[in-house]
Amino acid sequence: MNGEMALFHYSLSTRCQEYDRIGVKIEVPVMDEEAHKESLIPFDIIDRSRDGDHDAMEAVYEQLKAKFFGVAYWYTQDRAASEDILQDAFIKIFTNLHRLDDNQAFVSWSYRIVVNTSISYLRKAKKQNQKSVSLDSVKDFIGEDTSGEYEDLTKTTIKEALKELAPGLRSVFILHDVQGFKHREVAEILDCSEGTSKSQLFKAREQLRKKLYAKQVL
Amino acid sequence: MNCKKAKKLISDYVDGELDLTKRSSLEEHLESCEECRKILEDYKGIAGTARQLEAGSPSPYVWNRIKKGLETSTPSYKEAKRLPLRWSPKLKYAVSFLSVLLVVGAVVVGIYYLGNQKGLSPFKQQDDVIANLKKAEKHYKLAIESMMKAVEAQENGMDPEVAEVFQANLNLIDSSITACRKAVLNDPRDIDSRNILLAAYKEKTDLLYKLLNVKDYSPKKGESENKI
Repeated sequence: MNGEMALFHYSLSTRCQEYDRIGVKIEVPVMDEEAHKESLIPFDIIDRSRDGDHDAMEAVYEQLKAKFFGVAYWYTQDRAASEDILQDAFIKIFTNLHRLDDNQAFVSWSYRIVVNTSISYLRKAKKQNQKSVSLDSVKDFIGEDTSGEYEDLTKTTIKEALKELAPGLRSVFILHDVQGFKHREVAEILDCSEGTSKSQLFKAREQLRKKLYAKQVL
Repeated sequence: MNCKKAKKLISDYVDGELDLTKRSSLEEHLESCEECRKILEDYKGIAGTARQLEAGSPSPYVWNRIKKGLETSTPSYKEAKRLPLRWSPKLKYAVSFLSVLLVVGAVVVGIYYLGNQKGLSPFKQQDDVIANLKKAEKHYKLAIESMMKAVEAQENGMDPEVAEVFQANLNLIDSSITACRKAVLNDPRDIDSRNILLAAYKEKTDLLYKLLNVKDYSPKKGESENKI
């Protein structure tokens, strides 16, 4: 890995496997190399951001916004809320960057901030929801998925079921299955062991499978 | 391998995370178990669909909001840069103590140096020692004055009883210093006088050091009431 860039290590070849020996062909989602270039941040940009250079900060934002927005979105499934999370997370990242000594850890450290900000947003929303009206009743107001694109039933059901997953399971599922991180990277972001990441993913997939069955999607 | 064990491994199998042994035994089980094969297909479908989920991009104005937020909030790095040196009483003690130590050290070295210098006339040596002592005294007094101001500035002040004891000890040491100083002035070459003066200075610096940590010597709340 380039010593001057903050990026996760990826070994793409290990993830692309086919098992047709048992008659079931598995097409494991292969990590998109282009997608991971988004996480590539030159160290001098991080250093300049640390010194308060707004142009460098903007460059970091441009590089990571789509990925981070994706994390926030799959927690909340609400565009307005995701943008708020993105805003809060980036402010936290830049105002606390001087505490991070290792530029190599910048991306995982930043992801952790986005995850934590998303979880804390959900907690606040839940409390707020208990105090006032249900989120469902204000869906239209807060902008529930206005993309209008056609989605198959599996996708829609997974999205719905994702909302019901516990934050821990949801975190691993979003990072591993949606964002494509490996368990080692998920563990780094969530500050847990690889074993925990694997077991959480197993639980998340199993819960989603049951929900898909309940909705007769599978 | 039974189904219970197999089900736990299927998720890792989908991700290619199993070692060769586990993979082989799971594959062997999958060949004969339709239920587990179905689970495998389901997990594969879930993982595949998840990778197709798209969130889109944030609105273009989000960066402006972040920029505004960064300007209005006080970034920690700016705070760290702006943070003035806190001139706490403790720091004042430390600075005063350090200056006393430096001055006394310089005087002691100077006295030894001058006392051991050969080739200088006794009068020249005497003049140099006196000049150095006067200079040292000036700094010494300034340092003590600063230290006393720091003590006064301390919110709770020093315990009166402790302050009284300190003052009494300081007076004693000051008397010794005065006496030794006279002796050194009378005969700058007298090694005993210089050594006693050095000891007196050391005693004073030790006492001042205790004064720096005066809080530790102050009786705790309620302790003075219990005293007989």
